[in-house]
Amino acid sequence: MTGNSEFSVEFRNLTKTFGESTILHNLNFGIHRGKITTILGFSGAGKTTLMKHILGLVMPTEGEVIVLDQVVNHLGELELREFRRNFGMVFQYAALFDFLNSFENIAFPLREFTKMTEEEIKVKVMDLLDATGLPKESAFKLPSELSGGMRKRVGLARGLALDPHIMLYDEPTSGLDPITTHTVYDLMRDTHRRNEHRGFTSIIISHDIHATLKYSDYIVFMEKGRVVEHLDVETFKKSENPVIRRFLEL
Amino acid sequence: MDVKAIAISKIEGIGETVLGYLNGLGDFTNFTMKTIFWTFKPPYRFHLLFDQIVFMGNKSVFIIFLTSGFTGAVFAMQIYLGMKAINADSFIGPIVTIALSKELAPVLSGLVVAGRCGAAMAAQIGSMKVTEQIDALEVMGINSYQYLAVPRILGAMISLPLLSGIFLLIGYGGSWLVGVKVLQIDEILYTQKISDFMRLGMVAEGLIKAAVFGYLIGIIGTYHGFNVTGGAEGVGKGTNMAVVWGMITVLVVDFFLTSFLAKIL
Repeated sequence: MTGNSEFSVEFRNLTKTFGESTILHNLNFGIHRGKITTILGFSGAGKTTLMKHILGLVMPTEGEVIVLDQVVNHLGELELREFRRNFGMVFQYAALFDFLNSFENIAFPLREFTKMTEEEIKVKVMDLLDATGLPKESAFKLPSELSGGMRKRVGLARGLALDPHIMLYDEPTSGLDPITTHTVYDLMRDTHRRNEHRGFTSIIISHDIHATLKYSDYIVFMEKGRVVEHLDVETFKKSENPVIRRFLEL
Repeated sequence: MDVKAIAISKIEGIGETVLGYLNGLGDFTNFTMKTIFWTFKPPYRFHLLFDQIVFMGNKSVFIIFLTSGFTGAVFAMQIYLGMKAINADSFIGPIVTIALSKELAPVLSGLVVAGRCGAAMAAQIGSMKVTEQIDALEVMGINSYQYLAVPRILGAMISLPLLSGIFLLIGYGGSWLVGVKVLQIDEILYTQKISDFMRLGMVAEGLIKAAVFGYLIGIIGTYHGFNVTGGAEGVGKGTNMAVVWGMITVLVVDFFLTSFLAKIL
């Protein structure tokens, strides 16, 4: 299920059109297993559409998306639901269930997909709260009672609950102040390092260039549905591509 | 030339409107089929269904009490004013009870639930959609139709006949109070006439209607929730559509359902 190839995610001749507009143009690249890869680009570059392809929420018009050695666009509806349990995801604004407190939010996937007892769930949730730096008293607060940074932490804890193979972060620091932004990135990096021995892959969708350079192993730079560059961070910093230079100089 | 251009533009406008409605109908049919499919697929989350029954049923009881009590009382008063002229005031009991059981209880309960719960369904699901909570469910591998729509639809289907039954009983109580205690109609005559004219099939007709209305309110409320776009304004629009279409549907379907049930019951 988890596969052993070099890439956790691979796009082969991926093209996506909506109506008459082409959002993704013949993409061919892979996302390295066990690494932190950031998909970077201006708004409208196709980053979110690309991420939805990884999850099988959107299907290619042409080409293939291969995730953990499975061709996503060949999976049926029920197989896709099973397949998505390989992922954890942190949404732009955390997307916590507003009718559940932090504890219940983190326990949600455990109750849905495991046969763990309530006692085991309690232990696991408390471990996750601890790992994401959340104080115990925040466990019983509703999302509306938490700060933006704490909501992201709860979102991360919920995403990690089922020990996923791939963690996706969609603009994880939107709306956060610079200090909290770096705290969240530190947390993402620590989470990655703790899990990388099992091939854990982190994929970040972002347009925050400075944090990206500091925390990523690889960068995929997209513009208008095309991959401009796919490089390791050090090479990326030295890129002479004018679009990337313009982005780096922001 | 100008007249021709105007005519073409009008025809195009009509065509676009018709296509818009057909698209909407297609979407709605697709949504309905998906909810039916996911109703029968495990896992069955009975706790969510129970929560919805409590929300729609238990928490609507007070409104139903008020609505039904006064509806029965007012209806008895109006019938009395009409029937007294032809010395048939002892028929108030059966007329009110039959009207309550066949029409007023299911339709008015339906309108109350469409207003209260149809709006809540659209608002809850709509706000979950704009805050990506539905995406979060899907990413976890949970079907959002099964998790959010199915318990609400089934909850409305179960709650509405129960509320309609309560409406009938309380409405009967209101009419009895006005007929017997206020208008001084002989109590034995009042109840005797009811038992002469009432049939069990009439109550069944009302309960069947209520279940159908519950289904329709549920599917319309959840459909408009899932189709919310944009932010808070979109949620408001979806909620408004759920209430308006829920109420219109109850009244329109009532006509056709009455014709159909009259033939089989």
